[in-house]
Amino acid sequence: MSKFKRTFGNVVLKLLKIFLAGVLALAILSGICFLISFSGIHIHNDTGATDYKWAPHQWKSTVFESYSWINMDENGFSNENVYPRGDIDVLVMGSSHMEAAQLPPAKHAAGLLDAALEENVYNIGISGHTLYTCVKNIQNAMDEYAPSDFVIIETATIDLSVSQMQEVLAGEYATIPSYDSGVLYYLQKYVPAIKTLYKNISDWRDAEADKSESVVIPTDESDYAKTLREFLRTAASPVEATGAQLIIFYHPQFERNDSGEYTLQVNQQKMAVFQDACKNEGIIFLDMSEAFTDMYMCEHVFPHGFSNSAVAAGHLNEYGHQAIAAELIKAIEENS
Amino acid sequence: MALNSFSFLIWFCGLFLVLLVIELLKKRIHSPLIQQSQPVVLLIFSYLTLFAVDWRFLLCVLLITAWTFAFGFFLGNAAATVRKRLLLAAGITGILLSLGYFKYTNFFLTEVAALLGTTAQRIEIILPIGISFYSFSAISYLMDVYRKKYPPVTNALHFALYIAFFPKFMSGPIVRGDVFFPQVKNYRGVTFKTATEGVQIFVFGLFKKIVLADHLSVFVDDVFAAPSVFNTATVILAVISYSLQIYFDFSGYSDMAIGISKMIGFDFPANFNLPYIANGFSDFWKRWHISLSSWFQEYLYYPLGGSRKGRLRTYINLLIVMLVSGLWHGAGTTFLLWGLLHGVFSCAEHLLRQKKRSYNPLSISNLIRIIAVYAIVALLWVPFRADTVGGALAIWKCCFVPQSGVFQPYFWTFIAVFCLIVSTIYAVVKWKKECAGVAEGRPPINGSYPLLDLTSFVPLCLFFVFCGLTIILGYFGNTAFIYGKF
Repeated sequence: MSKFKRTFGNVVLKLLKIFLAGVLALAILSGICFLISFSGIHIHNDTGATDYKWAPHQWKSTVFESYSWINMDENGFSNENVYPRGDIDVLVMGSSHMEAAQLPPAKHAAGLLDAALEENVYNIGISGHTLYTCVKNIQNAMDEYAPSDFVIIETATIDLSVSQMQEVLAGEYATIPSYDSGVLYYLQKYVPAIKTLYKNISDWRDAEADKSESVVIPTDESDYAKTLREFLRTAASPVEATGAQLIIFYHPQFERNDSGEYTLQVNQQKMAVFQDACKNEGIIFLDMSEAFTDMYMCEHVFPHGFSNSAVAAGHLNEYGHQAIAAELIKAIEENS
Repeated sequence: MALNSFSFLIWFCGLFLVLLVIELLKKRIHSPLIQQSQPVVLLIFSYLTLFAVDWRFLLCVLLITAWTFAFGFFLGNAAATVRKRLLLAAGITGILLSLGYFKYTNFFLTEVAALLGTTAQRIEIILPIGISFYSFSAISYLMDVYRKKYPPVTNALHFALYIAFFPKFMSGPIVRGDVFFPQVKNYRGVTFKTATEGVQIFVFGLFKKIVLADHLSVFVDDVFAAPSVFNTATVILAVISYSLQIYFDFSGYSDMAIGISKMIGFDFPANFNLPYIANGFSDFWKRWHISLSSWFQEYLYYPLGGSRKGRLRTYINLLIVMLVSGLWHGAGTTFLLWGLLHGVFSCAEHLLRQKKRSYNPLSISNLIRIIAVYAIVALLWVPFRADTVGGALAIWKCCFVPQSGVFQPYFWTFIAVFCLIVSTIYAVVKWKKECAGVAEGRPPINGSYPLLDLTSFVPLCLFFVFCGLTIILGYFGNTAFIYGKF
């Protein structure tokens, strides 16, 4: 019996040692994650201007796409200056490209606009907020921020899905969930290594999944144009109602073709339909293709990608934001 | 199923648990069924792994196993020299014919057609994974039996495991019979010490593969696909990156194979030994893919006469070995060019070789030699990586003719260089300790694994941190092992 007790005691001690070493390792890894790869915690946005926002003054870090260590503003968005409701002239909406976690708030397009224009520019761009989500939330955003002059929406595509547009129009488009309570919240907040490990292990597992391309269902062109017009009207109406103007800018990515050249992959047919729909709805549409091509040809820089990520791929970089800011300034000055 | 794939790791954990349970049973039940069951489990696991990829690959392995086992048996029992030679020739020819059919048919058809000024239609032939590696294992077995290095193996299970042993199956190392058979015959089983050492070596390999090599592959693929888009500095950086990528990729795989083998009861020698501190081409080949280089030396270079038949024959032999090595790596003119150039530089080194002086790896002249050899080796990796000879020439041109273009100072290249420097410094410090007080006959600098004693709290914690960092920093974009395709 005593031998059994001794063996059992040894096993328990060894397991305890392994457990404690694991806990300490997790603490060290969390410290490392905090410095090199920390995105923060989603908090549900009660105003509905965005599906979620980051915690006030949320710290964010990354060394995997650019090198960036930034703080969000008091509202959980990426801005150098915060303006009270009624003082905002230009509201910027968009996805992670506009959240621009890879750059300090003064260097992304909205920050550059704010510095260059006499108007107050406020950015509520946030990860995952594609054109669909922005349009879904635009009425709430107008109610919350009431910009006087312009609303700018960023989009990385002009080739939209009819079904997703219809979901937005029907008020059925899914909201991005936030895990801002309970165990998951505290784990994300205090043990950031868990989130990163979980994400990377999922990516590791999914890397082996079948990568066969999904079947593209052909859509009726007239249906597409009709739905798009309706969709864009939904975006423009709340903006017009406040006397402001809506600007949508499109930033295509360079892709390498089979002959080893980098070109912008733009579906010209869809582009024509999109431009036409914007014109009909009184939306100012900015296509960044020409500016990006000039930038690449003259300065040999791509608008997307960083020195620690794939060439020309990923998020907008400093040059991309500068080019976009320049075009937006031109458009705002012309239409003011 | 690559050793770094998530599904393989889950699969392997299952095997490890089974071996562990048998290990515990072995201490209590002394039946031969239990005592000798672990190699059987390993063989079943190896075959199942292969079957899961493609049943035809398994069929191919079974045929080569049966063929080689039979010829090994006949060779061992043949008395007359002529009969033995004929048997050896027939045995090796059979293996080479299968390798040639699967790997080189399309290459020769295409090249012959190109010589005749026509085009050949490619034949749809599957390329069984690991065929280059297990074919060489099979050939070395027949040659060893012929040379009476060891007697032919009579246990078919042991021989089948030698050919199909899953850690080394896909990309080596090419383990010789004299290393493998004694270990399987006197199987030591799973022990705590070797399991903890093995898992550390495995994680080192995983770090090299998914953190360093896979991140580097992103940049290398971009630049090699469109070299004219980038400026000269970026192209040079990509060439350096590829030299690091292929090293970390393959040595990482070898470490993972060696680590897994150690965990389940087998010790295999290191396959890489800091190749980029080589001060000559012969030194490089003693440090790079050691199991393959030594295979070529023992089973091709020496039988051709080695350096015993005069200078001219030595050069011809070197060229033949390097050309065959190129062809072994891939059925393509780029690999032949790579092999030919390595052969030419090896001959040049023989030609210019000076009398051996006392070896001081830290002397300035030695450091200059190391840098020069590295620069040439890195440039020679270009045809190895390029899709065509024209593509390789384009990269070389971009390296030497200044051009403007996109500048991409890729971060992971600097991280990889840093890791390489740290591992070299670690080896140098260790070497200096070992050589303290030794004036003459100092050994070369050798790499080693900084293994920790995982029974203590702090090393265990450090190991957990290293595992976590490997996953946190890893790239999970589905990049295959470079040597997997050989």
